[in-house]
Amino acid sequence: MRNEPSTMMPEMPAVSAEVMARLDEDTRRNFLRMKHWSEMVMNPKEPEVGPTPREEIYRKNKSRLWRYASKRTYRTPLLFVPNLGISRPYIFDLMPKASFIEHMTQQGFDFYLVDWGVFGPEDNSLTVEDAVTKILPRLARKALESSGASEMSVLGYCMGAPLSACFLTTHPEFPLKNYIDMAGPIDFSHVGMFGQWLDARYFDVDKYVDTLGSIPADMVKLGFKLLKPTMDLSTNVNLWWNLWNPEYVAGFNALNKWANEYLPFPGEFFRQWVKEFYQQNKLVKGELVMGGRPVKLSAIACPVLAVGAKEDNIAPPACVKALMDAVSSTDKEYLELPGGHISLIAGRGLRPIAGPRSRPGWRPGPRGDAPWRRRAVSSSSISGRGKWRRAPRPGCGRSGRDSRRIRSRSGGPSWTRGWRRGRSS
Amino acid sequence: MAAWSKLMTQGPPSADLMGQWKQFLDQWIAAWSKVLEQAMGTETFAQAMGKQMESFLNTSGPVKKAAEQQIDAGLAGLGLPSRSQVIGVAAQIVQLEDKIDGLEDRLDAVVKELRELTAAVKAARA
Repeated sequence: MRNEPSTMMPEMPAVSAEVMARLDEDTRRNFLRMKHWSEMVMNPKEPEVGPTPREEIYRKNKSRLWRYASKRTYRTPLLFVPNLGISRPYIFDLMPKASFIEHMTQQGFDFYLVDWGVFGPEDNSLTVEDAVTKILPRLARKALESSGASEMSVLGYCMGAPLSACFLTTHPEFPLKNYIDMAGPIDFSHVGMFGQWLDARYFDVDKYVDTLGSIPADMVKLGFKLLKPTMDLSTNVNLWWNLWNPEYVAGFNALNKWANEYLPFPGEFFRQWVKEFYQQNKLVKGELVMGGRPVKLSAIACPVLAVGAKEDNIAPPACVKALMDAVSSTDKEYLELPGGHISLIAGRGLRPIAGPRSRPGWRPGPRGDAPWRRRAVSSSSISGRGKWRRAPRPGCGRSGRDSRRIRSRSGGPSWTRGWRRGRSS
Repeated sequence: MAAWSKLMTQGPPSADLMGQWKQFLDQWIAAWSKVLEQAMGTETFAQAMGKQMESFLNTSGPVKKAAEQQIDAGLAGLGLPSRSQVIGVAAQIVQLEDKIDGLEDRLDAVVKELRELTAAVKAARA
């Protein structure tokens, strides 16, 4: 005969066992909460971030180009262009199993990261134009040289998306294969609260830059904190709730370290960024000129993927989606994922958009050459200035005619074919 | 209160009091977040923030300038370079690096053209 508690204690109602179990669990968790909290306060450990091995390929002033270790099973290298200023780029490689870079390198992408660096007061004269026409082209060229590949895909995240779009449109000779915009604002008329606060009627950017010189990290922090004033409270409530869980605590420590390390903006960069992008919305209007060349998004004709996050209040989906109408690509796709601006690329709930598992179209194909290879033509046929004298690629030429051929092959988005597995470069 | 009453009327009573409390806090924060978001998304708020910023700049500008002048004078008295002088030197180094990069580019272009020329000559001879 089994000794069941309910038969041993007939006078106790059935719900008591549940309550007792719950209390037991709560006591255990509270004990763990106290333990972890005291560890965090008394013996705080510096979280280890950026676990993926990497090598420095090139450095220019404060900026670095990193190449991450991977099997490089995909032929086409990927250049990741994040935001300049605001925050440190280790968020993309935060910690094991919560790293966008780790995921991409495990998939076999030859991954290059542009690390803009921390600009000091000596860089106050650096403009958006300088970043787009002097730094980015050089880093992209070095990445291409280092990979040995003939083409490159570019992924712009946040501010990195408009910056990389400006670079690509002003450098038509760059052998671009695919372009990805992850939470990068394109149409600044839909940019939400930041757009409203930075409106020329209320915000005098000239006075701001002339008075402060550079934009201090504390000011940047204030702006982002104001965007979501309850964020700190909800973060702390969630920490308390999950404090019993060591895995959560480790993740929190790493993310918290990043979230409190804001970076300053070079003054002139901020002036141009606010004026021409936020206040005048020149990018989507096609009125920007950089390095003497017009910035026309319609010049992008290669396969394009744009990814917006539903709850993104820094780059709301509408301002990201605008890229779809601005480019002349026929092979283009817009994805809207749940989550916010950061959860797209960081944290344990990471949903890597480029992860083949998240999208059937991104599954790697069989090994072998890319189905559409670059045709050899003389460099004189290219309108560019000759640093990247490549043939126009189907779908990446300046005319939309070539790009229309791409879709017909297998029906899936052509960047999947562009990143078919091949021998390592 | 609305969040609390909504929570209390939802579903059967549970032993998970902590869970219910957390749920209440989440809803309370979400409600406040929404309220603040609405208030901060208005033109009035943007206008007020702009004014606040302007008065901050009006105050901090002269203070910053006066402090810098004082510090520079103090450093000059000690025979030390001022902050702006150090920044000037750093800016010159940045410019120098730009120039070296430009030279590197030109050199690359020349080497490339030479290689192409050599290849063309070899091909012509063959």
